[in-house]
Amino acid sequence: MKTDIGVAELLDRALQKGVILNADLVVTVAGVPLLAANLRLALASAETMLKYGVMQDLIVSKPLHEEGKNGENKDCIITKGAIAQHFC
Amino acid sequence: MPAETLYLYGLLVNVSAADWHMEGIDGNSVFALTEGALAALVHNHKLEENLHLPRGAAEVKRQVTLHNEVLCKAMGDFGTVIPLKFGTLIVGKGGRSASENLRGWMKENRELLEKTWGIVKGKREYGIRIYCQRKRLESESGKDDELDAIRSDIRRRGAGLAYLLGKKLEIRAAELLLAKINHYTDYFYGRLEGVTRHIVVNKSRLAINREEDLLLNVSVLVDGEEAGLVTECLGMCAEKGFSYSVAGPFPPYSFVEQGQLVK
Repeated sequence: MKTDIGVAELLDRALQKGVILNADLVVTVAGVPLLAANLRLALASAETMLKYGVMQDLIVSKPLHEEGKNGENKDCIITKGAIAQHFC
Repeated sequence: MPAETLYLYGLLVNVSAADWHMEGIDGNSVFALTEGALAALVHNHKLEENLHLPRGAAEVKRQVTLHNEVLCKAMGDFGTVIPLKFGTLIVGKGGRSASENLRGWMKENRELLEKTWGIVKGKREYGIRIYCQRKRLESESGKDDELDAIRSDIRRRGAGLAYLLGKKLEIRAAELLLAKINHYTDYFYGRLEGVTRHIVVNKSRLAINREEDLLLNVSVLVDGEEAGLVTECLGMCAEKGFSYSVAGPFPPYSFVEQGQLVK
């Protein structure tokens, strides 16, 4: 099974964090940002999505025993000891 | 309904981005809208395209990924970018166009944006999750004189009192486990904080793709040298028998929120 922890981490950030502008500058319907109103899924965090099974097709669980023999973490974007090398 | 809207990806400070272009969400052309030394990465957005119900999680994922790709490209080209939350549409209002409104906002917030830029410049965000095996911590915290005394007492007492002592044992064991969890959480947080003061605890307590329990979920903002030190920290974490995952690099989403801007 393909795992995608990077997607979950990205959704947690892009949907909940980052600069938020004043509401009067963004498109709203009855005070609710329009894009958010129409993309209700986008308002939920990855955690909420997982909780309600929305993201099951995107982020699937992998049993612990499928990890690398030496405890390597195969399902992260950057693996152990490799942060500096991936720094760009 | 407003005629013109701008989808806003991110902001740049003190860079020459006038000629910068790339393809963004739904093939829209992303360009830099400048205001003095500031630039906003935007695309002209056809509002009616979003007057539909979401087409599912895959659509959200695709759009978020494209939003992030634009930011990553800008991060590579300009050293960093101040990311906007996904789904920010600027509207024309009060007799002013969307671009005029956005320029006005940039002008009003110039000082704050410059300060934020100074903090995030040349740095990348990484997501770090440290996991623990509950049984191991229970085993560690279970070595306690008071627990031993209660266990010994249980063996000497009748069924009724033994039941009550059993409950006392459970409470004591839970307290010790919590103390052990807090000890390791504080320890690893402290080690990471020693590398970078830019560290944020994330709300999510989900152990993605894991059967272990999540001990710590943080975002760190680091430069190249600090990234090496974080790697060392995580190596030490592994030596102690804890596993971890690292995701990134990301644009500094966790370090540009309103509350974080002025730190």
